[in-house]
Amino acid sequence: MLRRTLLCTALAFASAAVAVPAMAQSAYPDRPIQLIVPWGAGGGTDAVARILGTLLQQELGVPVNVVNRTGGSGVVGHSAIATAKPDGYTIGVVTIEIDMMHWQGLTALTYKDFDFLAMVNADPGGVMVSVDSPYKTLPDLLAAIKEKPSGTFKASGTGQGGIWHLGLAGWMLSHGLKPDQVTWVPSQGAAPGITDMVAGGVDIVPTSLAEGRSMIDAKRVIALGSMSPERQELFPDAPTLKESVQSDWTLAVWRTIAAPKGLPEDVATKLGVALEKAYNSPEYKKFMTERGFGMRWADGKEATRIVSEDDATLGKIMKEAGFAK
Amino acid sequence: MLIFEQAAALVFDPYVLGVILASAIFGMLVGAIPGLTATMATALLVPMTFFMDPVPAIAAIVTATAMAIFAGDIPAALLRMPGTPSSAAYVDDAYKMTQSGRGDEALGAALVFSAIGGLFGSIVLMTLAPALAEVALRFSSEEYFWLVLLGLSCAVFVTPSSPTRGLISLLFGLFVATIGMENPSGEPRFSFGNLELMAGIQFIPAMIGLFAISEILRTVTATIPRQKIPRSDGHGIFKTQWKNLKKYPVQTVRGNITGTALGILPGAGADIAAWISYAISKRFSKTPEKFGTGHVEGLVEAGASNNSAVSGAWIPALVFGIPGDSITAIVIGVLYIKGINPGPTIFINDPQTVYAIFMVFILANLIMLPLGWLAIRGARPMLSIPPSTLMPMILIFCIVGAFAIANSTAGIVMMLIFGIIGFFMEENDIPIAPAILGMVLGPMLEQNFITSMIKADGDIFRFFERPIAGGLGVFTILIWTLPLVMLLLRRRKQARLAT
Amino acid sequence: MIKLSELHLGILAALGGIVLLFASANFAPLPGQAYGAGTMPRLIGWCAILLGCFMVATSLKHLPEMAKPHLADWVRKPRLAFAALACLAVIVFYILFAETLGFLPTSFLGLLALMLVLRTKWPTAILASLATTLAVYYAFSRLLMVPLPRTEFLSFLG
Repeated sequence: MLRRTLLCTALAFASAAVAVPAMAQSAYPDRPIQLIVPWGAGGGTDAVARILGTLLQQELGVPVNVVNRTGGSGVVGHSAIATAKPDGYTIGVVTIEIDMMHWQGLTALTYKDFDFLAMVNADPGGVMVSVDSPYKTLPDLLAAIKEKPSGTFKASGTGQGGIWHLGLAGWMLSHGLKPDQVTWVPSQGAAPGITDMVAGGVDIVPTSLAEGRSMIDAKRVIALGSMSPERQELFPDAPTLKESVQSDWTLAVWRTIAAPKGLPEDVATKLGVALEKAYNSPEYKKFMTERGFGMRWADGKEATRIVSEDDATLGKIMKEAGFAK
Repeated sequence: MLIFEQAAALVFDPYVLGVILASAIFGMLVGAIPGLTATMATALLVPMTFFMDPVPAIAAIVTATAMAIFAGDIPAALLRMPGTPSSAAYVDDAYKMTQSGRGDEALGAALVFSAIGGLFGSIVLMTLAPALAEVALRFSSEEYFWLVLLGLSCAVFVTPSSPTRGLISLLFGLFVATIGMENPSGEPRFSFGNLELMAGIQFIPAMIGLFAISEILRTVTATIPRQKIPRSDGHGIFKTQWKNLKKYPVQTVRGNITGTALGILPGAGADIAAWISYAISKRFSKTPEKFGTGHVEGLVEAGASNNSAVSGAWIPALVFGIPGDSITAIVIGVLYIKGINPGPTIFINDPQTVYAIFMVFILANLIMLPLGWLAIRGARPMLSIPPSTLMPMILIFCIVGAFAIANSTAGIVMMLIFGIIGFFMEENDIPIAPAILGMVLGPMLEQNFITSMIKADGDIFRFFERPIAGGLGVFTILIWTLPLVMLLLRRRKQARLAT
Repeated sequence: MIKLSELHLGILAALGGIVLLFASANFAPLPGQAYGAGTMPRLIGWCAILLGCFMVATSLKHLPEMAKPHLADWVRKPRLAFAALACLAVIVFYILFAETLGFLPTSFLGLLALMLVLRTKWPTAILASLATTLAVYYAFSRLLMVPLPRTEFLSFLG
């Protein structure tokens, strides 16, 4: 593998040297592309970016380097994408947090600062409890939440004011309950939240079911419900909120590929086509289904529409729940 | 036996062995460069593993990470530039050994005891994984809270000079860790609206600054020119280790056990394991005064500890799909893609693959010995470069390393500031190690304290209610108060004798 | 730099603690909780104040020799002080110019300047700077995919 990399280096070096005179009029892309990920190596967004980067590299014929710009709950990375030169050599993964952080007063950045190229994935939220929980169905759980005093139940799975915290608040609001009827225990992601639930620390984890897949398979965690319009393929036993407790609340976190605002038309088209090919490749499909990630395609225009709609919905809920500043 | 044969056939295949060798070299390279971590090595491997079979794919990651963790000790010993936070625990001992011509022994110890730790962790993984994963599942924030407090008491032991200056350093580290918005409340603290500060102080650039930049400044301002590093005493990299093993058998075993135990806990890990082991080693040493001056004992114990923790982290990952660190988080993803779903049934459904993975663990820790030997030999000429040429070279490495961790210039700025702070601290005999410990443990302390209080609705007795938490709590309080009680008793006795 | 005594450090620690207490006064607790963003900084602040007071109290016994800060030896040797400043200057130079000049020239110039300040001989300095720059560039940007700043007119080097 190292040898292969070395060989590639040598080849790239040689071809670069030959290509110098032709470079002036060569078409996009003629040098490596940076794919900025606003979240850390090891997380779901990073994984999706890396497989997509590999496939894009094959389509475009230039290296696509995944670069993690982490911190500040995604603010740093999203700013890095938005403020880059809109020349097509810096693109990035923009996640649902872009529709939240400006409401929280963390940044002035909104979805309007990006040119969206495609939406490549969406994961609906869910409701999970430990196998030791006395509540085995969603109606049971909801009845208990309603009946017991506010704050009896504790939930976890992301930071304070994070997307899943919002998802839980939205679900509570949809039943006319207070958004903080269930107390939120901040955690550094879904995995620590689920671990803590199994250890008996919290009662509910409302993250995407994919995050809890191994524990669901190990019969340590029960998926009580899914915050999607239809049941999820990988978790057929988890009913939707609609069919189980007649709630209209749905939430899905998505990942899009976007560029800084002002990308030239031809570059956007070229990237869009390459992304669609990468998305439709068997490798991508296999990767996503094996990891339990939801497949979701939308082209640039459609993605922009979904992102702007979610911006309005999330803003409304965040104001009601008292998250917005 | 049939399963073992099948597993062996999967591993001892020329292609798989080739992958292991190549990823070993790759891991060695990444680990030896400060700023690039074992996590980075794993993430870079993922796209390549996509086109491999399950066993070579996992083999590549296991080998590369084991190598990277060891290789972090090479710049630590030669340049005082710890490659990973876990190398930082014993960086001063390793560096001072090199300065006095015992570099081969220091790196040899790091290499051999890393391999021993890795092997021990692997054996535990093979034999006790399901049972131990169950125990790890019982740890909630209360238990981790006590564990972190225990870790903080290590600060007393890692301070070589006056305790007050050690505490200043520790408080400084704890303060640095509060900067930014990565805290339970999600509120930006001390960031003055600056985007990069909102993300918090980047750990690796700060560490490069505190250790390496301050060392460069110290070297160029030394009024008495540094003595040339004496040539190695010719005892070889491995020869001295047999002696060390015979001299420190208890330390080795203790390091192995501590490291594996902390590695299994998803909320702890290799960094903390190294610090705690170093502190235990000093506490029970016959010659605690030698620690921090170029003494191999702490290196033996902590070196074994951090590598066994890396193996230990695989236990909850394989049995429950719980990532113990960012490396296993990536690994779990790769396992799913390869159709090996982590879970208690993995040992029943896929025994050949699991046993093949175990064999790879053993193989990776064995191949570490010859490759590490080559790396140490290869790095040695660096020491014969005169400081006037070497210091600028280290400086550029520091700059690029601080940049690489987050690909941002902010990392270099932080490195610069922490370099000046580190230089100031050392000029004033304020030790650096407690500050690093504070930066590692501060966020965990806060996270676990605040979340426990939320869960308990502010009831402080919750910290003792759960059985493991209660036990840990009483133990911690005893450790903190016992010396005081002893002191008081002794004073009383003396007072009585005097009258 | 300045060498401070136990007394000075104690005063510094206490002052730092007080500043920290004031700076964290506005952090609100988590909704419905007594604890929040301010808990940890306040705890650190109080510890620093206690520690500072303790250090001042114990050092009052040795007051005369504790009161005066010393200067480190190297401060009085212009050449050494200049060398230390040069190291810092190279880092600042890199921070300011790497993005516009690109990695290759910035690194080469920085290395060369610093080596000459530290009195490496000309030919060695040029060779060593060039070799280090190229080695670091290829290792990081090619093998390890770290996007070091590019230089447009040297882009044929890859």
